Amino acid sequence: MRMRGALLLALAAAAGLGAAAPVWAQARTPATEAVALEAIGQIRSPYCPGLMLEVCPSRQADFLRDSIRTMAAEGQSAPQIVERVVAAHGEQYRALPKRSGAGMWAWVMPPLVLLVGLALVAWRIARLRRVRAGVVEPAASPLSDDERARVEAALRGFDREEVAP
Amino acid sequence: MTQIGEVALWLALLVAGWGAALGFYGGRRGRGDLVLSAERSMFAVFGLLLTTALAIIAAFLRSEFRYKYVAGYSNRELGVFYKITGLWAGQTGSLVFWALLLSLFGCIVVFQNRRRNREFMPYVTGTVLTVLAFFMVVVVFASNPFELMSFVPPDGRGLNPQLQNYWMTIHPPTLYLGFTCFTIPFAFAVSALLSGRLDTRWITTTRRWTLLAWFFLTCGIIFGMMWAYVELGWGGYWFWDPVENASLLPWLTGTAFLHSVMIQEKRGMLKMWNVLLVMATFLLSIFATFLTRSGLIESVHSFAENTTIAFIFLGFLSALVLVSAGLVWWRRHAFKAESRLESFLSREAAFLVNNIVFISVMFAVLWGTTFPLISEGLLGQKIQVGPPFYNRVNVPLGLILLFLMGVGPVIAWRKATPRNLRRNFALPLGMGAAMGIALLVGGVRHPYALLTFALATFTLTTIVVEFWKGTRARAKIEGEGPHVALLHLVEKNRRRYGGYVVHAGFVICFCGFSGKAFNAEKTVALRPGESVSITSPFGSVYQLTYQAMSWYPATNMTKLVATVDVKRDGRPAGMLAPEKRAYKQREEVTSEVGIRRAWNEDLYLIMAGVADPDRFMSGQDPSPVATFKVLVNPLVPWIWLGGFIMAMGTLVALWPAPEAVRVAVRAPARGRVPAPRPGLVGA
Repeated sequence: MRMRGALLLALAAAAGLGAAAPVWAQARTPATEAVALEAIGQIRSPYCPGLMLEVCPSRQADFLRDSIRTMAAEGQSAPQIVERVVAAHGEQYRALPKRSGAGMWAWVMPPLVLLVGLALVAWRIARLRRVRAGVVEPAASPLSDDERARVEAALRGFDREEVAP
Repeated sequence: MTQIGEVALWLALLVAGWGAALGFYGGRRGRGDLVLSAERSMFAVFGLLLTTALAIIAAFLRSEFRYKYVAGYSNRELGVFYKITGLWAGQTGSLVFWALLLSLFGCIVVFQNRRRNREFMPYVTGTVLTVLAFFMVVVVFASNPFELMSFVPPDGRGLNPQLQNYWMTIHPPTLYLGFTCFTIPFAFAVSALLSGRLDTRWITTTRRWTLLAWFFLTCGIIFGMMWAYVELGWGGYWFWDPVENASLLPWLTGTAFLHSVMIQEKRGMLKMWNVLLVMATFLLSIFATFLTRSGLIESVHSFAENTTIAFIFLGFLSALVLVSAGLVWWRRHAFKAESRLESFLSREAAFLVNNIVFISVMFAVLWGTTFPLISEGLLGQKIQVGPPFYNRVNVPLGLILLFLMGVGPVIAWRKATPRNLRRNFALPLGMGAAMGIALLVGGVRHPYALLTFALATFTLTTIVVEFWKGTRARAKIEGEGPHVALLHLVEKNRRRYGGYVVHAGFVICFCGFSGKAFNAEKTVALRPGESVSITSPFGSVYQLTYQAMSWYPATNMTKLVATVDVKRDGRPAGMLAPEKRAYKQREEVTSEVGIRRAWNEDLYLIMAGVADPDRFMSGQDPSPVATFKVLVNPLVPWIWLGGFIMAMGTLVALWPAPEAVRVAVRAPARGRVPAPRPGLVGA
C-alpha cells in the first residue's frame, strides 16, 4: 500500500501540469517562447538537485517555468529573466557564469589554455626555422637514374605502409 | 563463503603489497627470483579478488541482509540478474570490481610478457600491484563490503530504480574496463622512465592496450548516454554532469595520446609529451573514480557515502602526481627528439594542434567541473557551471577537431607543398562548401549545425577518397576486384583504415549531436481518445492518440502504463507505452519513456502525470486525464550508429595483423632481468 501511495502522490503532483491553459498564455508567441527557453536553459533547478530547470520533473519546476514564460510574454529579455530568478532563488542556480567578477575566470581560462598551446607550437616552429636558416646544408649530389628509380620505388612502398590514425 | 571472501580480501592486500615491493626491489637489483615472485603475486591477487567478488555475489543471491552492502542494494524480490550486478551497484562493491578487473589485466600482461620486455616487467608488475594495493586499502579500511549491520533487517532497501536497466548493468563494467585498462600503458610508461628505455618500444608494446582501453571507455561512455536517454526521462543523453565529465576526461587525453604516439613512432618526436599524456590519462581515470565517490561535487550519478574515501583518494592522487612529475623531471634529458617540426603545414603540426585542442577541451571540462570548488576556495564565492557553459566553450573546439580530423590523415609529413594541399583538399573542401550552401538554401539557419554538416562532409570526403585511392591502387597493382582489393587494403593496414572508420563514426556522432538544434517539443494534457500532433524538423507530422491507461503490480514494482497510438503522416506507425513505476522498498517513482525510433529521428514520449490517480486505481475513473511531454529528437539514432562504427573501427585497428602473428620472437627466459642501462638507473 505504501508503494501505491507513493505512486499516487507523485502522479497527482505531476497532474497539475497542462491541465488548463492560464489566461496570460494568450500573450505568448513563438518569439517570447524562444526567449523563455533561452532563459530556462540558463537556470539550474532549485527543486531537483543537480538538474537543470529545463529537465526537472517536479511540479514547482513547472510553476517556475510557467512564470518564466510569463516574464518573457511581458517583454523581458532572457538575461533579465535569469537575473530575476537568480535574485529570488540564489546565485547557485545560475548555470552560466557571469562574464564579470569571479565568474569571468570560468570563461577566460579555457581559451587561454588553447591560445598558449598554439603560441608554444608557433614559437617552436619559428625558433627551429631560425636555427635551420643558420645551418649550411651540404649540396645535394645529383642522383643517377638507377638511384632515382630505387628511391621512388622505396617511397611508393613507404606510402603504402604509411601509418595513419 | 562470505567469510572466505573476507579473508581473501585481506590476503589480497598483503600479497599485493608484497608483490609491489618485490617488483620494484627486484627490478632495481636485477633479481629475477624476486621479480618472478612479484609476477606470481599478480596471479594470486587475481585469484583472491575473484574469491572476494564471488563471495559478495553469493551474499547478494542468498539475500544476506546482515551485510550492510547487500541490505543497501538489494531486496528479496530483486531479480537474479540485478542481484549479480549488485557487485558494482554501490561504492564498496564497485571498488572490489575495479581491483578485480585491474588484477585480471595485470595477469594478462604478466603472461603476455613472460618472455619479452623483461626489463620493463619488474616495474610494470610493481606499479600495477601498487595501484591494486591502494584499492584494497580503501576497500578493507574505509569501505568494507563485509561490514555487518547492527541488526538483521527482514528485507533490503532494494536497488536504485534507475539502475534497474540493462544499459546500466553493462555501462559501469565497460567504463571500469576502460579506466583499469589505462593502468597498463601507465605502468609501462613508469617502467620506461625507471629503466631509462624511453624509445618507442614501450609505446609499441602498449599500443593494443591503449586501443583496448580507448575502446572500452568509448563504449562505456556511449552506453552511459544510452542509459541516460532511455532511463532518466528528460529526452537528453549528455548532461555535462560532473560524473559524466569525469568519464570524458581520460577519454580526451587518451584520444590525444593515440594520435601523438604516431608522431613519436614516425618521427621520434614528442617523447616527453607522450609520457605526460599517458600519465595524465591514468591520473584522470583515478580522478574520475575519486570524483564519483567523494561527494565533493554535486552530481546526480554520484554514490558518495563517506568522506574518508575522498581523503584517501586525494592522498593517493597527490602522491601519484608527485611521483609521476618527479620521474619525468628525473629523466628530462632522455627525451631528446630525433627530428624537428618543420612547418605548420605538415601532419606533425596537424596532430600537434589536434592534441592541443583535445587538451583544451579536457581542461575546459575539468575547469568547469571543479570551478565551483575553485571559486569557493580561491575567490570566496561558489559559482556553479552548468551545461550551457560546456556547450558554449566546447562546441567551437569540437568543430576545430572535426576539421582537423579531415586534415590530419591526408596532409603530408614534414612539409606539405601547395600541390599536395590542392590534390588532397580541393575535392573535400568543395564538397563541404556545397553541403553548407545546400543546407543554407534549404532553410537551415543554425550556424553551428551548418558548420557541423559542412565540416562533416569535408572530413567524410577525405576518408572516402582515402579508401577509394587505396582500393584503386591495390586493384591496379594486384589485379584484384574492387571488393577484394578493399578487403585486402584494410587487412594489410588495419591500424590506418580502422582509424579512418573510427573517424567516420565520430563524424556521424557529431552530426547526431547537432540534431539537438532542431528539437521539437510539446506538453499536453489529454483524455483517452484525444490526440496531439507534432511536426518533426524533417517535415513528418506525428499524430499521437491517447488510447487508455492501465495499472498492474509487477515483480518488485507497481506499473502505470498509458497506451498511445502513433500515426506518421496519417499512416499507422505503431504504439508507444510510457510508464510510471513505483518500486518496492525505495518508495521512488520513475518514468519509463516510450520511444519510436526511425533512421533519422526519435519520437520520444514521457508520461508526466495522471490526474487523480487514486480514483483511477480504485476503479472510479477509468479514463483519467494524463499529461504527456512529446519530443521529436532529430538525428539521435546517428549518435548510436556513430558510436557503433567507432567501436567497429577500433576493433579493426585492434585486430592482430598477420605480420604480428608470423613474427614470434624468442626472448630471454622468464625470471631473467636484463641489467639496467649503465648511467641511467640511479642517475
